[in-house]
Amino acid sequence: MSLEDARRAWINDEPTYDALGMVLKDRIGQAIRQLGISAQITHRTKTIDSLLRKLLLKKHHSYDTLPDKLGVRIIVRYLHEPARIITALGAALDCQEIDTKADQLDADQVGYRATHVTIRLRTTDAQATTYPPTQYFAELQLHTLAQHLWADMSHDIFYKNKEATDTRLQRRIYLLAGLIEVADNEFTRIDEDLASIPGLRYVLILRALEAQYYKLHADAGNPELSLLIIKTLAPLYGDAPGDWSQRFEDLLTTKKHVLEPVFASQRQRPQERSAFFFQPEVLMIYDRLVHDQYRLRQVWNEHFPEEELERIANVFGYSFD
Amino acid sequence: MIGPDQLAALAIRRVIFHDVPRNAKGQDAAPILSDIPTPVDAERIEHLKQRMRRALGSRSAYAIEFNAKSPSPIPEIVRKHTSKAQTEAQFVKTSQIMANYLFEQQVGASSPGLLAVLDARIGANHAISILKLEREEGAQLQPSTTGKKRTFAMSVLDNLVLTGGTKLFKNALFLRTGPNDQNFAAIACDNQRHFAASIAMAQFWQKFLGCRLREEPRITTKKFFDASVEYLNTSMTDPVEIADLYEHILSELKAQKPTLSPKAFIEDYVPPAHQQRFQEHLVARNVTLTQFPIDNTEIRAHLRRKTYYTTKGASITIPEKVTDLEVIIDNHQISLLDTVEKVDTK
Repeated sequence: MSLEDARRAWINDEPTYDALGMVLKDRIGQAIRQLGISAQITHRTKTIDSLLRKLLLKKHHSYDTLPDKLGVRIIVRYLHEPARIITALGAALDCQEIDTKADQLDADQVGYRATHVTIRLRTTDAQATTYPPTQYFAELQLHTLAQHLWADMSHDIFYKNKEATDTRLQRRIYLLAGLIEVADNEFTRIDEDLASIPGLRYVLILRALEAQYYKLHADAGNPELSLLIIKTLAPLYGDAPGDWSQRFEDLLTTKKHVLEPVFASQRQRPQERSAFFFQPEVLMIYDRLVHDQYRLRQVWNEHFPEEELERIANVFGYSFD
Repeated sequence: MIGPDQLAALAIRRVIFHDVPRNAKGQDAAPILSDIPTPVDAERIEHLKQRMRRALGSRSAYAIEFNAKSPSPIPEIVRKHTSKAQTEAQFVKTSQIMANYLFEQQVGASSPGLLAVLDARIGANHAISILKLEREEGAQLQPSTTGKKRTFAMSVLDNLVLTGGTKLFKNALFLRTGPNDQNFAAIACDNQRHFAASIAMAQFWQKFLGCRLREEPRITTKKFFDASVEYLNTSMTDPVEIADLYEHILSELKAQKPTLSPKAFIEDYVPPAHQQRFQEHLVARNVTLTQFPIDNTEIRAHLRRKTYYTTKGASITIPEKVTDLEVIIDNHQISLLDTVEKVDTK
């Protein structure tokens, strides 16, 4: 296929790949939500310029075999999350050629550590006839936030132009990759250590809430507001509140039939929904609406606007009239 | 039972309005019927759902059921409509029959108004909601025409339903819960006037719907009384709180008002630390939390008290039906065998 043919083919195919990107994002989003992990999922199709340049430079690839005509990226916060996501995606998509870049680095090497996977719709997927897996695939990149920072910053100056870059500059960029790896390790360890620090009661409640909240909604709320509300509502649970994680997991299990449609509906109503809704502690508010509505209203009204609680209560089917 | 979970899942598919004037003798009035549903955007649907949740989840709402003795065609229409998904034409026809029947019933002092019928779903179950929106006499609403079909514009919804301060509607929601004719959960609300303030208006609405309260008021009243007294005897320890709550129970049931809302009672009289547990206790004893008409037939003896006055100005009042209390009157001298729990000094 000549470059001109490739140009025409891509002008014709790009909208289909873009639509497939939306479908893949949906499938990936559903799989990750079940894990309760906060993740940013984006997709992009190659621009014509970029596609043609790549065909010129990567002679071993043809238009049909070029792996990243459609790219999907998942960015997570902690190092242990990519492996869990890859496992979960295995049930939702056809995942092949799992390429963990970190495994290719020797002990004395630092550098790009993301995971790349070739993904296709499963043949059983409802959209498989529209996007046949034999024809359509995408390259998935899975990064931590820190890895993404390094990849993004070094992309133009290093990753694509290794040959032309000055070796001293290369070393400085590699050193930054090492620093990023240390940061990733530390963030993960800090996250693990939080559970054992007694003074961080409210942070632990927030983590228990987040683990369930991310099953319903991908975007994080405002943590400062979260902690303020949790601090206000935690006393409603008494001196022996039990296992917070179990409590909110049980809430999601027993009220999934209410929570999922309400969250879906609230996503469509940004102008009318409560500013307090898309926050992890909305699950705590709902839990108290179900189990301790009178004291919830009393405590809430001492700190926050009553109308906002009423908005939340209304969408969950409760009336204060 | 229609509770918060069901109201949260309420979805509205279609809305239709019919203008139903008063059916006054000697006047040539007739309903103005829409031929097609009103086109309603997602934002207004959401507002409508909010208003319905506020009304049907409120303390003024009451559970109803079909009354087999009623001549109203509404129960049969509701059964048929919710038996399977209806086409738009079937929905329009159903709502027109309802409007014509409302017109037949709207004699005497009944207010004219718009009848709104909502084709709804709750989860996988079909539901239908019927609203009567009161309008000022003479302020007739003009329908618009789409093609050759008559309908009322969305502005009707804005003016009569969605205005924040409007409390203009009688409302009922029927949810099919199974394949049989009796597999329904239904709830009604009369927000025009508080149920308490106008039994007649509520009765008109129930009569039109072909429904009655799900439980006889004398039974509900007794269940509320028994469950409340059981709670204060078994779950409260502070004698002052117990005495106060008991007084409130008696005074609410003996007050000259026709209804009682347990939800309001809890908010107004139950100590905060007990509110949720008291509510859960009522629910566990199958006592409704929404309002019900007070009928003391079954508990009259519990509410009566006997007072003894002595020559030196003392008085002793005791519940007439308390049997484990010994009052001995011997040669005009009174002895009471009981334990003192508190002393009020006034």
